[in-house]
Amino acid sequence: MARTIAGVAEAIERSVYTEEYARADGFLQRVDPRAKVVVFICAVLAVGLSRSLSVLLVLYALTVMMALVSRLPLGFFVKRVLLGVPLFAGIVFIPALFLIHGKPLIQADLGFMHLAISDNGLISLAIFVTRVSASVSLAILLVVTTQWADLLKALRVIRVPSVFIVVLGMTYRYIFLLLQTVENLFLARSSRTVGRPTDAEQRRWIGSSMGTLMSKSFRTSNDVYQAMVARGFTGDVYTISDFQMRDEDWLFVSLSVVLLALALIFDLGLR
Amino acid sequence: MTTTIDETGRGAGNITDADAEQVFQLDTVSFSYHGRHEALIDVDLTIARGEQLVILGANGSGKSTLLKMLDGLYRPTSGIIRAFGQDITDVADDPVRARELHRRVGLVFQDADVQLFSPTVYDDVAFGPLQMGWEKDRVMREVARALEQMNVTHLADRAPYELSGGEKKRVAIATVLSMEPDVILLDEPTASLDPRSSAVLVDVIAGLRHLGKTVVVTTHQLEIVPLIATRVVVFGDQERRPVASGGATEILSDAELLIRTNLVHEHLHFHADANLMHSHLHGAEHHEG
Repeated sequence: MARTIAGVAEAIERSVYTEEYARADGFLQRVDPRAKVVVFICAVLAVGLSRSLSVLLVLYALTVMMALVSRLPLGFFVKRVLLGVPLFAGIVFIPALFLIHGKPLIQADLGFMHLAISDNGLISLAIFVTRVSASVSLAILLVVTTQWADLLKALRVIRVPSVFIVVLGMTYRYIFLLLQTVENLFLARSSRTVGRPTDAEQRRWIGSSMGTLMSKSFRTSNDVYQAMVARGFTGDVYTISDFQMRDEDWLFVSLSVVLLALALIFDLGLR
Repeated sequence: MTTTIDETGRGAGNITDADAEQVFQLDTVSFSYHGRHEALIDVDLTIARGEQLVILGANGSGKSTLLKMLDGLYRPTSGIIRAFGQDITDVADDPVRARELHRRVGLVFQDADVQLFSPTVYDDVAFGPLQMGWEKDRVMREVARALEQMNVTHLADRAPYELSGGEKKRVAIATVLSMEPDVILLDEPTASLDPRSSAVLVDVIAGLRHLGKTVVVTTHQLEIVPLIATRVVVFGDQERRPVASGGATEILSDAELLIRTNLVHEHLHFHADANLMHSHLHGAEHHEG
C-alpha cells in the first residue's frame, strides 16, 4: 500500500517537475511550439531513414546538445532514455542478432543448433538501439521543453482534429484529479489499518476502491459535460491559438531541415 | 420584513417590486431525479434584474438543482420557467436557444475542478466565448477583461491543477464573465475555502453588483449572507421549496425559521444551575439564547 501511495505521488510530482522544465528559460523553450513539432517530425523521419551508425550517433549527439542548451539536466534526460529503451530494444532485437550473416565474432555449438553472432549482426543491433534511443530522445525533448497546453495546440499544425486535442487535454487534466483521488483513498485506508492486512482483504479493498474510482470518474464526466454545455458547448469544439512565428523560429526550422537533409544525403553516400 | 411563505410555497414571487424587470419567473416548478427522488416541489420564485439574491438552504434542499434549471441544464418535471420574459421550460431540448440562454446566464459550479477542464486558465476562460462563435479579437479582448476583473491575469498560463482553492473559484467566475452574461449563478461559492479566500471571494461577489449583473448565490454559510445579499430566500430541506423570503437581517434574526430549516442546530448548555436550549449560527457572531 505504501508503495502504491508513493507511486501515485511520484507520478504527480514527476509531471509537475516536467512542466517546470518547460517553463525554464532555455533555447527550445523559447522556440514556437509549432516550429518544434515540425522539426521533431523531420528529425524523427531522418533518424528512421538513416542506416549509418555514425550519422545516427551524430543525430543523437545533436539531440543531447539541444537538451543541454535547453537547460535540461543531462542525468535526467539521458537516464530517461538509456535506462529503458536500449534494454527493451535489445531484447526485441536479440533473435535477429543470430540471424544476420557476416563474419562470425562469437560462436556456440549446442549440438542441435549452431549459434553465431556476426559483425553485421552487432552493427545492426547498435544501429537499431541508437535509432530507437534517438527517436525517444527527440520525443522527450519535445515534450519536456513544451508546456502540455502549447504542445496540444501545436498539434493543429499537422491537422490533428480539434476534438481529439480537446479530449487529450481533458484526459491529462483529469488524470491528475483521479490520481489525487487514488492517493487519498490509499491514505485514508492506510490511516485506518493496523497491522498487515491479509491478501484477501487487500484484494477486496482494491476491488471496492476501483468501483469507487469508477463511480467518481463517471460522476465527474457528467458534471464536466454539464459545465461545458453551460458555456455553450453543442458538440463542436473550438480552440484558440495566440502563437506567433518569429524570424528566429523560421530560422530554427530552416536550419534544422537543412541539417537533417544533409545528414540524410551523407547517409546515402555511405551506403 | 420577512415573508413566510404558505404551505404551497406561494408567495416568494410576491416579494420583489412588481415594477422591476423580472429576469426569472418560476411557476409551480418541480423536478425529480430519475422520476423518483424529488429535488424541488412546486417552487414559485421571481428574481428581478440587478438583484443579489441569496438562496439559503441546508444540504439536500434542492439549491444546486434550482441553479441548473435556471441555466437550462435541467428540464423541470412540471411547471413553467421564464427567463427574460421567454418560456425556457423546454430549452434543454433546443441547443440553439439553450446556447443563447447560456450566454446570458453564467453558472459557476460548486466544484471548480469540474468547471476548469482545459489545460490552462486562459483556455478555460476562452472556452465559452469560442463556443459562441465570436471573432478571435473579441474572444481575446473578453478573456483579458474577465481575467483582469477577477484579478487572475497572472495565472493565465497556469494549469488549473496548480491553483489554490480560492484561485480556482476566481478563475471559475472569470470563465463565465468572459461570456458577458446578464446573470451569474454561483453554487456554494465559498464552500471548502479557508477564511481568507472566502473573504476575498465575498468581495468579488459583492463587486459583481457594480458590473450591473444579477447575481444568484446558493449557500448554507450564514456568515456571508449579509455581505452579499439584497434579498434572501430560504429553502426548506423537507419542503424542497422556498419557505421564507426577506432581507438578510430579518432572515438571520429569525431563529425559529433557521432551526426549522436545519440551517442552525440547537443543543443544551449548562448555565449556572439552568439547563438552557440554544441555537447557534454556524460561524456567525449572531447567537440566540
